[in-house]
Amino acid sequence: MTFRITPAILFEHSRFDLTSAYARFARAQGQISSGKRITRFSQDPAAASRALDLKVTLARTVQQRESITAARFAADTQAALLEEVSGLLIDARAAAQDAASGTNSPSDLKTVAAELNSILEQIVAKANQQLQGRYVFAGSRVDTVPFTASKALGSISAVTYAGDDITRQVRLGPADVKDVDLSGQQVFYALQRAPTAIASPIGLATTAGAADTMVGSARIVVQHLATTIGDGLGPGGGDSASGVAPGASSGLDTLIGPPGAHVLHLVSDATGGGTVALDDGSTIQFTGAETDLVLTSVSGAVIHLDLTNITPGFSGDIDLAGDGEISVAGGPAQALTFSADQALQDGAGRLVHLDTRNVQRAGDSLVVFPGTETVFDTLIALRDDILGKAGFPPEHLVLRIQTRLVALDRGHEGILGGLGELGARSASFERVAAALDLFELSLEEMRGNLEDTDVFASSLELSEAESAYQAALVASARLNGPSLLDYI
Amino acid sequence: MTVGFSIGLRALLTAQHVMDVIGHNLANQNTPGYSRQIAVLQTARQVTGDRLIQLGTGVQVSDVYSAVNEALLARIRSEVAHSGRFSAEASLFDQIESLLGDLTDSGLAAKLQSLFDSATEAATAPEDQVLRQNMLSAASELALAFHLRSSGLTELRSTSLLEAQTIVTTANQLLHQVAELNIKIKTQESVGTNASDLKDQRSVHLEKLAELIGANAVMLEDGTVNVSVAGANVVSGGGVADLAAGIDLQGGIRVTAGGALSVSAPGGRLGGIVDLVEEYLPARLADLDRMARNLILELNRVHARGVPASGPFTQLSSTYTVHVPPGVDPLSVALQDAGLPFDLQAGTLSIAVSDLASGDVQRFEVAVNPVNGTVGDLLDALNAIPQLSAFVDGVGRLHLKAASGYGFDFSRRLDALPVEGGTFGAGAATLVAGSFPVSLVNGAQLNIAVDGGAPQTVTFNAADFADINNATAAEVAAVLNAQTTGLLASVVDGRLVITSNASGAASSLAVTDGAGLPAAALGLPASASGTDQPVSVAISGMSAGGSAARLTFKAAGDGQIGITPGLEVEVYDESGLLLTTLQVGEGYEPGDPLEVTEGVYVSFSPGTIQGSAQQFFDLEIPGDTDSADVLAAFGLNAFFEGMDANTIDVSELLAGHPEMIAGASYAGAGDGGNFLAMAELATRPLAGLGSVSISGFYNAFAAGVGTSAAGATSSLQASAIVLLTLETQRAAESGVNPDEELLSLSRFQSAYEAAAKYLSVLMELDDVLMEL
Repeated sequence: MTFRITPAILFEHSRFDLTSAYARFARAQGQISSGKRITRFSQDPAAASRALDLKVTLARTVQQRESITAARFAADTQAALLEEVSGLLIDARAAAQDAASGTNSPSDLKTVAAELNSILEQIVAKANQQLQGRYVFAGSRVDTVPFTASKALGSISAVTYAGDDITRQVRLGPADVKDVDLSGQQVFYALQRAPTAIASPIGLATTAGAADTMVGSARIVVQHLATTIGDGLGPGGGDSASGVAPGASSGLDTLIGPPGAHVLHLVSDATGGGTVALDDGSTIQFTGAETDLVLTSVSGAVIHLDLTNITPGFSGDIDLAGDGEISVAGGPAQALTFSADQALQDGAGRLVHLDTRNVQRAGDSLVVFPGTETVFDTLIALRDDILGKAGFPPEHLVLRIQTRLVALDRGHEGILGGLGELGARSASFERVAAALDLFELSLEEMRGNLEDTDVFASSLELSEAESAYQAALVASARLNGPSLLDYI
Repeated sequence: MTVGFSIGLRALLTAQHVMDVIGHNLANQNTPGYSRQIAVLQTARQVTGDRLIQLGTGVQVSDVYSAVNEALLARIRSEVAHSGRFSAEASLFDQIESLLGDLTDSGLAAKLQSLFDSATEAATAPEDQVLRQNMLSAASELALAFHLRSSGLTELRSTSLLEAQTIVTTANQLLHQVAELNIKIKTQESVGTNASDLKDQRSVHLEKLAELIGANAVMLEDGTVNVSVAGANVVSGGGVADLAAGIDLQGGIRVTAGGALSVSAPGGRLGGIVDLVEEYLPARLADLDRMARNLILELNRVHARGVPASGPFTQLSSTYTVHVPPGVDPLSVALQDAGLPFDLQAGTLSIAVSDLASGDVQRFEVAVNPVNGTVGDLLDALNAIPQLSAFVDGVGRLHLKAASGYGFDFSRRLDALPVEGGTFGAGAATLVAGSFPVSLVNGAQLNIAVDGGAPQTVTFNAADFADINNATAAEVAAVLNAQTTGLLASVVDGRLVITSNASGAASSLAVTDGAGLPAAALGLPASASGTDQPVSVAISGMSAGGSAARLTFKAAGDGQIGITPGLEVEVYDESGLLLTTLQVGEGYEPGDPLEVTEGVYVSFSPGTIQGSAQQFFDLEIPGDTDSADVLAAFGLNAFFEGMDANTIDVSELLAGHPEMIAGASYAGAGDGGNFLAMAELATRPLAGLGSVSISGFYNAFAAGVGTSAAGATSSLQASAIVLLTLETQRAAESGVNPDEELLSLSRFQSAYEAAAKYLSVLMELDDVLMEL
């Protein structure tokens, strides 16, 4: 069927075509000028929905990456501080080793103690470091000074933790929340017990493999109770064969050990005089008139002898035995059993297992439980030992320092462990942040593909639309073409 | 000759008439609705001549009609009605889309994500007041975005109503014009006069009416049309039933005809507007409200369980108030009828009451039954909690207040020091009895020696008990305290606990049964001794959520923590089921945390415990601390206030007080656990939103609007094409083609000239005849 065509409908068609062409032209132009292929959901609901979802995910990803970057900064900040603490502990160790050389004058030792005190104060300062208004090692109590140093006579005597064990967390993924930093508790108190160390000039040793529960360090006291000379059946309770008897001051004996652990080497002449030596100690001459001769072994064991009833011409070794009791840190005293595993309790009911087989004499010992005290405690103890505050003989200093260094090393290991943990976290955060960077790029690309204008394609489309519009304009301009009117 | 003149004259007049029609057509070629008119020619009546020969008498115009296809016009009106509806819809959708602005940074989706992002950021430095303030600002902006969209949609309803009323006014004018034209057409046609032009005018009005209100027209034989809208007759001949548009009770547009007749589903633009106002806009507003409501509810649920930077609350007021009819005591109404914006559930509210100095936490549970329990019952239960008081003020606001030195919160914090009343590892000798109630014999006696002293006889008389056959722990404790010295009998966690007043190894209690064997009935151990090494128990960690539990720790032997071989502590659940056994003897390093249940640890200091004395302690492990939704319903420790898109806002208690955001899940300014929990809401599927996240719900909402808008635009474009096709058809049938008309003009000009020539010849002949 052929339609009748009228000018009016031609104009109507032309108007419709011009409108359509211009709309297409305007849309292409709008896409280029705005840079967006979609500015409204109605333009492409499915693509707009995906684009919105991507934008939300993108925003979340950006925030997540920023949070992780902040977390990494926090971990790195703590790690930097712990590295400084670690350096200070190395300095402290060197100073303590210097003090343990045994060649220092009291003045030199004071200098070392002062240096240790300075290091201690610096470490406390590092542990109380503030950054952006928060105490870095306070756990969640970021507005509280985490480490409180108590002072006695101007020096730090104790450091206590006032923070808590709650740390910040960061979300790495939908179901993956990680701790960001370490609390002061986790850095300075999360300690792992190491084998017990002992500084004992009297022959005490630790029991290998025993499960000690005491913490920190403690003083072990061995007290002498009684000395047995030979068979103990002689005059005055002495040895019947040699006639050697306990001296008048035998209550001051320090010799301790089971029968046979100590030996008295006696050579008597016909007058009742002669020589006598305790273990491998110095040989001393006697006349037989001595009622309270003091003998000392190389190990320092002391015995008092009455030689007035000596059997003339007796030569030989006499077995000695010394009974004693042992206690630790205010705990109950118990008789020495001279066994490989003698368990002692402190006043709080904690345990230490000791090897008492080789105890030579009465005296004090220092037992240290590495990994159970903070570096603050160890440094305070080290400083006080060097200053002689514990009241032990100066000759024990080297041994004590060496024992304390075991604890210092363990505390340092704890710091290094924290450093390692922070390093691992930082690396993990960096990896996740890098992955999120890539994800962000990918999301941005996907979003861009959906939402943004493809400039080249849109330019082409604009060009086409413009051409079509121009063509429509040309066609419209010719609507008033020739008609019959021109020829009538 | 006369006939010839007559033929010539008719020919002249006919040609003139036809040229008049052509001129009318040419003049109206661009008149809207004009249908070209066609003159119908026919031979004039024959006359009988000589010899009965039938002679023609020329030509005449028998009719002038319009080239109108009524069926096509009806089809056009139908399509115009569709187009009108689509046009109205597209226009409104366009406005809705502009209002939502979804793909821009000011869109609701962007604001929503900004809130959750600000929570995530705050978790990185919970103590940072700037970050906290950022979260409040983001929340305020989100609330404003909800308000703008809600009020925008509401305003759109109002303006749509105005537009509907304007349409109705215009339509009424057109209806009256149609009625007037009906009368004129009928009058003209009744006398045989052509009324084509009037019909064309009426057709234009009918088309406009179709566009505006989807009017249908039925042509009648008398030339009039009846007009109806959605089945309601609005024009019948010359009568008009005026339309009116108003707001109905549901807020929709009610269209009536003739003042009463309801026009339920008009078409055209009015139909599009009515549908959008009655169905689409309310549905979208409901979607927005639903989203805002769920956001308020869910964020408040999380926030309420957190703790502000300043720690537990010392006092707290509810955001929402109890609303009851005038004259009704608000305390007497059931919780479900208390006029609260969010529903309560049957469940429990767990409250942690803290001693602010020691940090000791005690948990208390309040059972809630919204159907049978009243507001007063809830207050009674809250007031029964030690160190806590509650009241509802004159405006219906619930207030909670802690006693001086105490605080409270609704977090899952655990009691760090769970041993109460020296029931476990205490320095003083302590005996713990069995379960209650017990049946005692009237006059029953037991002897109890305290700290090695002489046995003291205790007699249980019926007069001391409400029912001696169901003696309670409190009654037995009262009897013991009244008849002995040197000890204290108390009730701890529902159990009878007897403690020597002395502490240390010298402290002791020894019980011997007498007449009636009350000690056996009470389940009292025979003896207990004190210790110089009391045990401290510490709890660390936090409940992982899930179900609440009450764990009972029992010493399973006598001995020293960390020393006695095989010493154990047994852990039971509420039903008495053994959950786990903790090795605390030899090999256990005192102070080491032992995991009891997920995330909860217990540690024991060195010291002595006595299983033989039935030593125990209880630990409350909270699950969901508010399974009854009391906090959300009353808006206690709420983040948002309001109940829908129009009223949502940041809680008044938080505005200007960023430190009060409960960003900690535990305590401490640097704890950001609850910030993370709030941020997690961004992706958590919510039951109230059909198990999709808030973002997902909004995305679907926006996509739905976009799809509807795209559909309306697409339908409008399709309709425009259909209309163009129909108009083309109408132009083909009814349009004026000047070429055609000019050709006809030329033709009838020739006919006119021929007729004139014919007359001229006749006149010449007549002159010749006269000259004869």
